[in-house]
Amino acid sequence: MTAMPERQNYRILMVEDDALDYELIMTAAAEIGVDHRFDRVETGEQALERLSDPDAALPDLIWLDLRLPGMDGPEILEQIKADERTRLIPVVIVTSSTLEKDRERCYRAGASAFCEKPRRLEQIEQFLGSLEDFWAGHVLGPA
Amino acid sequence: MSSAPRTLEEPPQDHYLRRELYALVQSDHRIFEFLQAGSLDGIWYWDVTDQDQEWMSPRFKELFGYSDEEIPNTSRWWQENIHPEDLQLALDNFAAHMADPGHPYDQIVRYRHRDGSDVWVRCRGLAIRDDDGNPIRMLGAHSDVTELMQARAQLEGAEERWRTAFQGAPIGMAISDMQGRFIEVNRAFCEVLGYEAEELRDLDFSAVTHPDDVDAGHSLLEAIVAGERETVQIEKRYLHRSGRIIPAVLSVSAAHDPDGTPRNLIAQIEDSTERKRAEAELLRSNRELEQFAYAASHDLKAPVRQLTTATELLGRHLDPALLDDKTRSLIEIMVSSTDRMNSLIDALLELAKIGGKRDDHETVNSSALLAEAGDAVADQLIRAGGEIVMPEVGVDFDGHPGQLGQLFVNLFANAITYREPERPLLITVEVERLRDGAVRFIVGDNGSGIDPAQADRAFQIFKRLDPKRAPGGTGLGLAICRRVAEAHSGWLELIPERSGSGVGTFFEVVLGRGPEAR
Repeated sequence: MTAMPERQNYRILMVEDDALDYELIMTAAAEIGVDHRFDRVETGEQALERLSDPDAALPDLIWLDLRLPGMDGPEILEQIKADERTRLIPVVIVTSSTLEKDRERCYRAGASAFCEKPRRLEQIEQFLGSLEDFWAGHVLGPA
Repeated sequence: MSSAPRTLEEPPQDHYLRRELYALVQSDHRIFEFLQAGSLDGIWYWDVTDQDQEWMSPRFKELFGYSDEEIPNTSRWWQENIHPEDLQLALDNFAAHMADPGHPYDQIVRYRHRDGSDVWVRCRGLAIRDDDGNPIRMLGAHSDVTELMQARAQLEGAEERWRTAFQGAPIGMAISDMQGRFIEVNRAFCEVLGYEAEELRDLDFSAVTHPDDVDAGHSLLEAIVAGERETVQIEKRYLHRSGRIIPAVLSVSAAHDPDGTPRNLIAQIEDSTERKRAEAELLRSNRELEQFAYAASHDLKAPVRQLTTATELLGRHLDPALLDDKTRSLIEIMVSSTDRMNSLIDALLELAKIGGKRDDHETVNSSALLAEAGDAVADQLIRAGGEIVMPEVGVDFDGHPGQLGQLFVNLFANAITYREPERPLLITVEVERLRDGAVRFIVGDNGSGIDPAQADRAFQIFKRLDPKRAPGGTGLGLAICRRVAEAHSGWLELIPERSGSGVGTFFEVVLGRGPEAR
């Protein structure tokens, strides 16, 4: 993995079709004082397009919703993991699904984590904090 | 006595004893007396030239309840006491016999007994003619056949009742020989298979059976012929005349001769097309409902989540000057309400997820399962000062470890929530393997108990018998437990004999057996 800057100022690609979820997370992140840089796309197709742009900088982490219009989370994940350029980027599935088969599919496709979408400010803070652990090497999924 | 020599060659009609008896009848009146009184039920002798005159023997009169003196010897008496329809028959036969000696005077007729009952009599007669062949007398004899006729009527009644039941039965019935060839079939049987009764009479069962089920049918026959099975019930597929497959439940029994040899097969078939269709429909609609419940609860989660986050953010964004205690408490209420809504949706999701799918089952050990469930509630249990007594032995069985774990965690957590403050909580678990391979758990406690009359409510979704005692409860715990048990071909029931208000609660969990076995 690439060397990380000292300050927690990471680029996160958020693949999330729910505009409200995005807006609330952004507001909460600002409130809590987390200043990751979030780029949001609404579909997997857009995400893959963004990732394939040779001129754009790659994100440090991908926040991937499970159910999306068009390709769903695991399908997008497989593409990311199949590409030499992007396969080492940690991908965290953030979903409201609680189905075991969803969890299995995601881990099998190479997810670093499978998380329930946070709801309470406290949970959001914890969650955003835990994302940093991916760069600190504390949490590494079975990718 | 005649002393005529007898020879073996004598033809039967010339047998010496016959000749001797005939001679005796002529010479010794006691012989005739014996015949008329002892071996017949009445003799009559009628003057055809003066038809009022007719002598009737005492036995004749006695049969109808009269003494000899009570009935005058006239033909009027019998003509008035015979059944009117039978009088016509007797007179018709009489006329025919008068004209033609070859026409027998022989009929069964009814007389009215003195007590009003019917007496059935077989009446035979012979015209005695003069040298010119003109009838001058009729000699006749009665035989009492009342008992015979009553037995016949009874038999006919039984036969008629049986036939009505057989033909009118709403399920298909067939009687066959021991090779399975149809002897008799009823209407419903014909309707199920689309044949006429006559067409089936030449066929055996294999002609109307799905080719794949013919062998099974033959082994069934063999088992019955060998006497291994008395009655057998199987599901099989018949072939309708049109070629359509008819799923049916077939019950076969053997009817035996008095010596115990099986003689006939009695088959009953019930067309289960409709039931199968309904079962498939039920399965489909259940699956649809599960999917609907899952999708609905899943979709509900997003707005609840967003409402929570937005409410909390609102609290932080408000001007501190505006954020008085009242406002703060209102925001807290909003957040805790959305929390509760979120737990309810989670529980509903859990409930919707428990399906009957077997592909994710694996071998589960009861001891490991219970130990894990015990660990999950260990903190609560210690705080409540309670104890769980686990069974000493474990059994292995097939199941979904996650769902089963939740079942026991829910039961333990219920016991902790509804404990009796007066005494230390004691939860006991028993486990045993039943003879049919199913596994039975009994989870009991000495808590405040459920009134058996209230048990049904406890299993309903969102029903909490005592909401004050479990403020965080979703009211789905027992419903989830029951669904888990049912998804494992079993059930969960309160044991009413061991449960009661203030006494405790005992649940029986049976896994690995069809719910129809309950």
